Amino acid sequence: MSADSKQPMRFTGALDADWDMIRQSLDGISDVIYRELTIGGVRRAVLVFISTNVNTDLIAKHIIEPLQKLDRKLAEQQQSYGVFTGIPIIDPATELRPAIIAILSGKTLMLTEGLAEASILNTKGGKQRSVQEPTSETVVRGPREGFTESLNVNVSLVRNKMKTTAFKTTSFSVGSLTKTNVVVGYLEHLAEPEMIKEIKRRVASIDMDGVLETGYIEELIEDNPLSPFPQFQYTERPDTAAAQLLEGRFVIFVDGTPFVLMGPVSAWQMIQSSEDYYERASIGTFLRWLRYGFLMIALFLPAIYIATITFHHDMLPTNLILSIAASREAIPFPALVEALIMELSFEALREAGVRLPKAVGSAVSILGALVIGQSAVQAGIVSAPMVIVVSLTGIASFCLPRFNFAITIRLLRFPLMFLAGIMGLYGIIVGAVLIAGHMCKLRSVGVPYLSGVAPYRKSDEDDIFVRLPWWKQEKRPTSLTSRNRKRMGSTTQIDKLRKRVPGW
Amino acid sequence: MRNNFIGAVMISLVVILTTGCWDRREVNDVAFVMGTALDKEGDKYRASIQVALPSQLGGSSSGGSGGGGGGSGKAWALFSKSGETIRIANNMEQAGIPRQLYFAHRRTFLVGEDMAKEGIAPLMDILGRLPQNRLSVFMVITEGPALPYMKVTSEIERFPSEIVRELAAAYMKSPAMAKTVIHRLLSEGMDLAIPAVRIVSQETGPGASDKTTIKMDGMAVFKDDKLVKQIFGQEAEALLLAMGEAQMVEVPIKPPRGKGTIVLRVQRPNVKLNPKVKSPDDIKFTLTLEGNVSVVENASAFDTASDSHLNELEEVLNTELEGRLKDLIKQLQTEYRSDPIGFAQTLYFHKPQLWRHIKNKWEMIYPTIKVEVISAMHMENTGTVLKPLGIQEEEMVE
Repeated sequence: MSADSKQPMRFTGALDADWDMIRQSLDGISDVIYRELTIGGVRRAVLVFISTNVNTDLIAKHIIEPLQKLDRKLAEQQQSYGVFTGIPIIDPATELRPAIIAILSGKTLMLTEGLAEASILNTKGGKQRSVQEPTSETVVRGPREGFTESLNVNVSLVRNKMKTTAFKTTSFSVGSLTKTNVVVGYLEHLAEPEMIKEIKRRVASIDMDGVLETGYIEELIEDNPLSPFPQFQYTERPDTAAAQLLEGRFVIFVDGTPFVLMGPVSAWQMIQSSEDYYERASIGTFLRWLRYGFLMIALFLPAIYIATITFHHDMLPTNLILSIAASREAIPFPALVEALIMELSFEALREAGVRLPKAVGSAVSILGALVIGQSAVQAGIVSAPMVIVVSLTGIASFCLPRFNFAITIRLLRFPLMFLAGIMGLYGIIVGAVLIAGHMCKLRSVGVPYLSGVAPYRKSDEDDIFVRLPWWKQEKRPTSLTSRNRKRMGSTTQIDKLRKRVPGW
Repeated sequence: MRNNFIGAVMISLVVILTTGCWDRREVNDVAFVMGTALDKEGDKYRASIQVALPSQLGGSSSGGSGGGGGGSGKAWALFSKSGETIRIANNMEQAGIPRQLYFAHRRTFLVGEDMAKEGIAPLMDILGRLPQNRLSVFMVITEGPALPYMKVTSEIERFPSEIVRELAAAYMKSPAMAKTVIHRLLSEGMDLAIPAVRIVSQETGPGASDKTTIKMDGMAVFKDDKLVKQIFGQEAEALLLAMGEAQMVEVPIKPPRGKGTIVLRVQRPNVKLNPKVKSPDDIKFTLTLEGNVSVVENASAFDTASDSHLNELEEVLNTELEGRLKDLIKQLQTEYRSDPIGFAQTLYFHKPQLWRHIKNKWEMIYPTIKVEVISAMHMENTGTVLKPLGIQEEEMVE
């Protein structure tokens, strides 16, 4: 493209020359429309837009019609005609390159005879998905709206919840071909300025041909790209994004995906669900403990099972080890191999279930339950206790509300199983120490992954192992915000009210 | 950087793979020993071990090959060899068993009568030395040789050892495990008394099958580490009461008036020992027995509804228990010369100075000490009915 040359190509004001310039750039694109019109019957102008990307009704009624009907005298005097259209967002353009990008992203370029400054009118149209219930994070109690593929809608959903000037957004265009709009949002008085500066620097430095999903950005800007642990959280829920903003985190919107990146994260956050905060505190705490328990099961149970039945037979109650021995009597494989067969087939089943069309899904579950669950046991290839262990592990991993964290846990289970098969409980401990060490070292945008516990912060305990009632969580977590930590006016006020008003 | 990483992975792989797995032992390469029976055969020990057979246990369909054929045969195999020590006997057994003997799940340790009479101290060593041998194993003395106990035919539990384990666990307040036995053997002023069992027919009477089972209703009384006497039935019950080890005792008594029998249950009885020493020649003990009593069966016409009647019953029970305990203590003092109730230990704890003085003469003093037994049982409830059911008001004994 000629626009790539050193000298930026500028519009001259000679309509035919400028039009030629545009036509050269957009050569070979069949859905480009050039619409000529005469403003007020005196001035020639041309509208350039891509018919599939724009709202043609808008162009007809709010650009062409008012301009053609413009008073002749007025039209002669004017140097700019944007104000006479019904389009709220109008940018000037003097150079070719930004004008081309604008056309490609669904805007309309207006070239006017005698004016070196063209206008870019925002006439974005095309099909958009409406706001729907998020499918990847469902809640029983809580808002039902979810992000869509449109960046503008997504930002607006969050802004609707955050009616403050402190909610700042910075826009980036990422990807040399896709020119994807990326917006970094944060609450100015809460988020650490250093962190915001750093994240903006990281996003701005991305140099890639195309960005189609938040995952691209996540991988390109995370602190430790080799770590199995996710260092950002993503969500489909505007309320989750708003909650993270309120704790001093940033959000990254990416055009074209309903997922929004949030950071910095801690491991604790990965087993919290937005519903923890909507239901009563006691329920939130119970669910949290349940998830901690099942997190441990998902990570360690197969390994512990392998270790006990190949090394530590004395650790189980006599009757239990005898019935395990009874069911393993005809099994041809060592426990480790048996466990690997089952775990891998479970992962395959899960993967097949996710990817397959819904209509075929039931076939998978029948095959899985019958062939693997029952027939394998009856044929004496795997033992019944192993099937129980694997199913329990599977259920446990589904208990974790964050999919990216759950999949990490599922992955880490395999090295632990190998260690258990080779070295028994000692191996599990070695593996656990390595994982814990890695998590202690890991940082998400500079914030320790286990912050609150390592380094220990007493005030952050409110929201890690328990979920204290809101009136007890007066302050925001220290690991994220050092300033403006007060979340609540005064809880003593509530206490006073409770004492005074009978029935409270 | 990259080379370092690959190097580290290689080294750790080599370290893990070459050092791991050495003690790997699948659960099916292990023979779980459920119980041991120990007898003396001349100079040698006969150690009989009961090994669980998982393939016979059935459980969840244990594979197509077995056809779910669990429960058809015995779930255990018995191996018996005699050797100079227990370990040697065990090793001889191991030579004939393709799976490795595994002792960590053994909870039953039966010692034959003859073996116990020669002393049990030598066999405590192996129980304490090998970590696989758990000190929580229940020790029980059998009437006669121990081996037949491993072969009783009762089908109530899967292994005969299991019968003994379940019985022993419920028999005493602090069941006689190897660790309590060792503790008793080593503690001063207290002799050992542990449960004794005998083989009985599972059912009696005409047409009864020949199934046998193990009955735990006795106590083996030791002097030092040697068995003195096995007592069974009421006598053993009295000993348990006096030791404060009885869980729950049911005592049948005759009502003060009228015919029939009333069964009273003593719940969680407690014992207090109080020494009164005037001089080394004049030592007196008061043994107080306390507990709550309830009426569990009234097979008489005696009215249990009134307070005064219940007090009368209390009195009858107290006299009965006092009599039993007095007889028992007399026998312990004069016949068995054993002190499982711990008179000497109480003296040691209360009057250590005096104890040091008379320690060496205790053998002589013990038969002469006077023991006063006070039974202070408290009638607590009469069950869900007050008066005997099924008897007319007029027929009741006032």
